[in-house]
Amino acid sequence: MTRYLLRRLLLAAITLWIVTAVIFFATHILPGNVALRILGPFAEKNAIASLNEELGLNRPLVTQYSEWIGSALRGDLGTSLKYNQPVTSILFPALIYSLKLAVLAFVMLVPLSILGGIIAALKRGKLVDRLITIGGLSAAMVPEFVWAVILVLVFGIQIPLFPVTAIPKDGATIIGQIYPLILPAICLVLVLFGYVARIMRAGVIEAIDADYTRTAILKGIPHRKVIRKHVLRNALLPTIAVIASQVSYLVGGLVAVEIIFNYPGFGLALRTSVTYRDFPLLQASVLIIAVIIILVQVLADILFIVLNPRIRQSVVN
Amino acid sequence: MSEINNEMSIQPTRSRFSRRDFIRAATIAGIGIPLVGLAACGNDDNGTSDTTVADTTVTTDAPAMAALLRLGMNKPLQEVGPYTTADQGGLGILGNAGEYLCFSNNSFELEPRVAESWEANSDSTVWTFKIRQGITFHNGQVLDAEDVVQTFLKHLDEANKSQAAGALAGILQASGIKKVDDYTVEFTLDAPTGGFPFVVSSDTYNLIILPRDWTSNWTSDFIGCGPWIMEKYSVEEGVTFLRNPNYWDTTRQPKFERMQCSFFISGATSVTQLLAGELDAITLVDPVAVTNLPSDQFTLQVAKTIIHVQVHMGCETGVFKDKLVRQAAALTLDRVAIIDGLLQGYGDLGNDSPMAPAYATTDKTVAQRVKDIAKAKELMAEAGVPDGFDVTLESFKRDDIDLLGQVIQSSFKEIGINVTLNITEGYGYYDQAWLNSELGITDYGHRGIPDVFLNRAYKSTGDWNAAHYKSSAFDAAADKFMTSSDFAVQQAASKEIQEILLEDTPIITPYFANTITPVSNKLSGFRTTGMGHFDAAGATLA
Repeated sequence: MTRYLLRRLLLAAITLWIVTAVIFFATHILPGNVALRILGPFAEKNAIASLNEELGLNRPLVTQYSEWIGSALRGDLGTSLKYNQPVTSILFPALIYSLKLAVLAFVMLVPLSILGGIIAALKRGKLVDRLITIGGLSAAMVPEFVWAVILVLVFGIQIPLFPVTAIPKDGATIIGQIYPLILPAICLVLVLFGYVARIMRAGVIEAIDADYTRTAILKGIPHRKVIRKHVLRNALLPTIAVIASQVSYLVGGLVAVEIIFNYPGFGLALRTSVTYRDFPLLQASVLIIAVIIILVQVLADILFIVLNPRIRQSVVN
Repeated sequence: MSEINNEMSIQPTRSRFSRRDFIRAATIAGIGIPLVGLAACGNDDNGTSDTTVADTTVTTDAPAMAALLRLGMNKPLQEVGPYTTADQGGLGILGNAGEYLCFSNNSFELEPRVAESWEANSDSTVWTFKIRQGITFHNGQVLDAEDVVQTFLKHLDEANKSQAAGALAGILQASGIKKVDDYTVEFTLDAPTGGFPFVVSSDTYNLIILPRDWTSNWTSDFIGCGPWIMEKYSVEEGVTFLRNPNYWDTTRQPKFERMQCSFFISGATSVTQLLAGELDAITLVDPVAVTNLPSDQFTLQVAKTIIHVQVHMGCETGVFKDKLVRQAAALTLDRVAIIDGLLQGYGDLGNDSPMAPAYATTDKTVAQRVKDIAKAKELMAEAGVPDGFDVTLESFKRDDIDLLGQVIQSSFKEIGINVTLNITEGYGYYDQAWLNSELGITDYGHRGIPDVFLNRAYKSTGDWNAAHYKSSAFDAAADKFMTSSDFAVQQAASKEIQEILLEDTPIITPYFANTITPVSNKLSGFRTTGMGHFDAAGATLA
C-alpha cells in the first residue's frame, strides 16, 4: 500500500514537472511585448526597452525556466509583473476564496446529488425519477453565469434575501462567511447536480442489476443493508471519479460566476494573468491548479481502494 | 475660464424595476437571449415590483452608514503607484491618498491644491508655483518646496520609468526645476507652454506630491497628503481608506470615518450591488449598464469629457494617402446614430479634430461634418477610386471598439471600401499595429487641455502620430495654440487647427464620450471627473 502511494506520488511529481515545462514554454512563445503590457500602451520607448532588459526577458528560455523552477522549489513563485507584488500574496487569498466556495458547493452538491441519484434509480421510470433526471439535466444545460444572473436578480434584488456580493464582511462569523456564498454555491449546484446525480443513478442501477446484489437478496439480507453494503459501495466509484474531475472547474473555472458575484477567486486571478501575460502569476496559477488536481486524484484513488476490495487486493498484490 | 457648465445630473426616467428591466438587466449582465426566453416564462410583475433595497440598506447597516462610504470602482490593472498607474482604477486611488499641485475639474478649470497660486513670465517659458504652507503628509512630515522639486525629479528620472515622463517630455527637464525658497518652485520650460499648469495638474494623474525621501513600494502605505489615508489594500478586493484628520483644506475634510472602495471587473456587476443597496455610488461606468436605474433611488451624474477614440488613416502611403479618400471615409459616418447606439446618447459630436466642443477655446462656428454618401462617392471618384478598395481595420478588443469597428465596416462599405476587422485581445494592437496600420482605432482619455493630443498624436514629430500625418501648417497652428496662454489667441489658433484637420482628415474623431456616475439619492457632494478621479471629501449621506 505504501509502495503504491509512493509510486503514485512519484507519478504526480513527474506530471507536475511536465505541466510546468509546458506552461512555461507555451506562455513565452506567445507574441507580444511584456514590458509594454506592464507599462501600458503610451509608455516611453526607452522605459519599455529598459524594463524588458531588467526582467531578463532577453535571456535564453531554458535559463529562465531553470531559474523559475529553482525558485519555485524554494517556495518563491516569483513577483507579479502587473502588480509588482509576490505572486503568493495575490494567489493564496484568491485560492482561499475559491476553496471556500468550492467546499460549500461540494457540501451542498455531494449529498444532494448522491441522494437524488439513489432515489431516481430506486424509483426507475417513475415520476420522481423523471423529475430528478430531466430536471437535473435541464438545469445543467443552462450555463452557470445565466443561473448566477437569475439568482442575483431574483434573490439579491427583487426579493433581497441574499447579498449580491459574495465577499463576506471583515470579521464575519462562520455563518457570516457562508451566507454571502449561498447564491454562488446554489448556482454551481444547479449546474453540477444533474450530471453527478445521473452518474450515481446509472451506478446504482448497474449495481442493483448485478449478480452479487441478486445473490445478496436471495440470501435474505435486508433490502436496506443490500443497498448500503453492496449497491452504494459499487455505485459510488464512478461518482467519486466524476466529482473529483470537477475540482479544477470549481477552483479555477468559475470566472463568470466570480465576476457576477464580484468574488475575487482563483478564476479571476487566472484570467488576469492570461489577459496581461503576467508570466509569474500565470505559471504559479497553473502550477497550483495542477497540484490541486493531482492531490484530488490521489485522494480519489485512495477512496477507490477503501471502497472496493478488489482494487485494494490488487494494490496489495 | 470655461463658459460651459458641463456637469449635470440626470434622473433616470423610470422608477419601477419591471419584467422588462429584469430582462434588460440580465442582458446587460451578459446572458443575452437565453434568459429572455426563461424570464418570459416567469411571473409577470405587471411593473409593480418596485425595489425596496434602499430601505433594506438603512435598516441593516444603519449604525455603520454614518461612518462608512461604500463605492464601487474599476479594478486597477497594474501596480498602483505614482510611477506605474496608467488606468482609471489606479488614478482613483492616487487622487484620494495623494494631492496634486492643482486639480483639473469638470469645468475645465484648475483648483489650487498643494500649489496655492502660479504665474508665468511673459512668454510662458518660466512658471512659478507658490506652495501652500501647513500641509503634512500622512506620516506627519511637513510638505514644502523641496518635496515638490524631488517629486518632479523622480518622475523625470528614466530609471523610475514613470508614466508621467511622457507628459513632461519636450516640456520640462530636470535642470529646469528650481526651489526658489521653502515655499516657491520655479519651472523653466524647454519651450513656451501656455497650458503648463494643466500638465502638472491631476490631468497627469501620476504627479501626486511625494515626500522628498520616498523610495519605497507605494502600495505598502499609499503615502501622500490627500484627504484619505489607506487602511487596507488588496489588489483583488479593493481599498479601504480612513479620513485624514490633518487634511489641510477644512472645507473638504471627509465626512466619513471610512471610505470602502470595492473593485469590480464588470460595470454591470457593480450596478447590481448598487441596486441591492451594497454601494452608495459607482465611480464611472458604461452608460449601457445604468440606463434603467430607478430614479427615485439613484441619480446619474453626467459630465462632458474629452474621452474619445481616434480612427487614424495612414497619410504617407497606402489607400488613404489621398486626402479626398480620407474625407470620403469620414463622410460615411452617422455620428448622431453612433452616439445614440454606442453611448446611449451620452456623448458630444466629434468633428475630426481633438478640439472638443467642451473646450472653451474650441471655435463653434466651424461647420460640423455630417454623413453625406453622395458627396463621399464624388470624392472617391475624384480620387480615382470610384469602386473602392480593401483595407484592414486594426484595434483592440473592447465592447465599444468592437461595435464601432462594425459601424465603420458597414459605413465604409457604402462607398466601396471593404473593411476587414482585425480586433485583437489585450495590448496586441498597441504592441504591433497601432503605429504601423493603414486604418486603426485608438482610445484616448480625458485631458483638461488638448495639448497632449496635438503634440503627440497630430504634430509631424508626434510619437503617437499613428496616421503619419505631416503638415507644417498644422504644426504652426498647434504651436501657436500650445505656447499661448491668451484665450483669444488660443481660440483663433483652435479655429485654424479645426479647419486644417477637417480639410486633411488624418484622423476621424466621431464623438467625445460623457462620463456617467450613478449615485444613490441619499449621497450628496460626491463628484467624479472626466479623467476618472473621484472626490468624496465633501460627500455626505442623508
